[in-house]
Amino acid sequence: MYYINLVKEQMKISFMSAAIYRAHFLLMLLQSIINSVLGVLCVEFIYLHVDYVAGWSKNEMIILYCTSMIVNQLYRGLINPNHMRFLGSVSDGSFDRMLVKPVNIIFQINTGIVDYSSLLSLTAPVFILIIKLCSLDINLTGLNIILFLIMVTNALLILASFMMLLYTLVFRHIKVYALAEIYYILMGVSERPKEIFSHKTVIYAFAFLIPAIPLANIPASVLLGKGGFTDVAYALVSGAVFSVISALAVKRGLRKYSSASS
Amino acid sequence: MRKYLYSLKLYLLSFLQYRFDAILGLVMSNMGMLVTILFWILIYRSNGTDVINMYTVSDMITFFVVSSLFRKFIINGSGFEISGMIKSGELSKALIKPQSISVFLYCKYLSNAVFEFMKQFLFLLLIVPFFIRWFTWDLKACSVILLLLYLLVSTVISHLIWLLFGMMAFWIEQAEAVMWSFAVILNFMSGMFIPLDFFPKWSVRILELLPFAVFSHIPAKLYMNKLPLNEGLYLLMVYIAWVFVLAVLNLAVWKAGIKRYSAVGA
Repeated sequence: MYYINLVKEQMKISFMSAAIYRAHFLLMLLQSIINSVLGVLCVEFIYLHVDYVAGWSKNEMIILYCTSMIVNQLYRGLINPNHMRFLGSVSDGSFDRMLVKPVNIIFQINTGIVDYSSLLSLTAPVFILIIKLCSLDINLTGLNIILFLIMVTNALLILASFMMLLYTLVFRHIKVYALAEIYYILMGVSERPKEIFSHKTVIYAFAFLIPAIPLANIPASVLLGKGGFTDVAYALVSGAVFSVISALAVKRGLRKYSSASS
Repeated sequence: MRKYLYSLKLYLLSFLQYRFDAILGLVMSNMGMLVTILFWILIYRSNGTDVINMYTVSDMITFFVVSSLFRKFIINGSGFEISGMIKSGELSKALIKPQSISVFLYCKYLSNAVFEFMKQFLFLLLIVPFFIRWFTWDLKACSVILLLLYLLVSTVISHLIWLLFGMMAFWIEQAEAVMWSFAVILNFMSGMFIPLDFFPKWSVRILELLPFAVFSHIPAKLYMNKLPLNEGLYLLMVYIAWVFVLAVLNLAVWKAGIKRYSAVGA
């Protein structure tokens, strides 16, 4: 209950902050929507010249892209600002203040600021996804939708855990902003069919070591009725494993941490 | 000239301060390109063809590799810096210095671009031996000269466009948010995500005549010998005309903006 109340307060403060900078909020929202629409346009333009890509039709590919955008915007809205604050806090010494608060440190690393413009820009990929789903001749059941929502939530958990795991390197190297590039690579891989990797070993690497495939490929496959039980089970296990490993990495990093503040 | 060279030296030193971050950033930024290339290989493979829209697999790979090099010459930092200077009032200090702010920012970010280019070039030299059979090597001597001119024009155009965006801060407080929105559109229209030739036929010519195509699409096509020399020269003239248009616009906006500018402080 304590943590739920904290989240509520954090959301309120972030909302108040967004309300103060309304113009900025609206412009960032606009930018995110433009980003989604242009991404979809790229897919449309590629399919002007081909009919299928590794068995994915144009509408299926757009659904995959939109799923990736949904996970991306959820991460950017709820987690990413806090991860960036964490990276900055270690180098400028303000991490000390986080340590003395009577709140779990992993909770603090992952929550706090809510970027409402990124969250609201979810509407663009969700809207396009619904339109494309309607245009497809598939039997969409309630189970598909529930499984899709579970897989998207799980994808967010995997992404947050994996990035937190990487960012724990900040305790050793102080400045590791370049690691954020891995996030862009993850999203870049996730919005494409997993068949881009022709070798099974590479597929396994992107499934287990750098978990890009469960971010959008598995949720989209589940929604389109292409995914099997193995995929779902693998994604859930991956989420659990990365959560545990990242929590352990934070604890280990804390032992190495020496304050940068005066 | 010494003061501009000094800013280059300072930039190099600050870059090498955090080596882990710098090297990781270099490797990671190229991984994104690799993913795009793998996606295009999949498109060709799954359609059982070697040519799509006049582009072979080698052309496509070369396009993205060469574009990644040329894009390093996009000078967008000057826009963000001038916007920050206007907002913070730092512009007042810059105004009393015996130098042109625009030229100073151009030199500063050009040195940044040259350094980024060298980094990317050296990195590509390291990995090229593994992918040499995938590259198109069809560059002619006259194309090299034209290419260099294109890159020079590209730096000036991008600097002027971003400076124009940055100067919006004279009128609106949230100029950076607007600039990010423009950045997404500009990247799209410059052929960063897919070659402009893959856009609907009616739009290709229009996009090629706009100044954004010079950032990577046209130089990449020139490198791949997919642009006839006379067409290349014609487009170069068009982009030089854009330089004049943008310079005049910059001057007009600067004059209007500086009348509105006010800052507090000693």
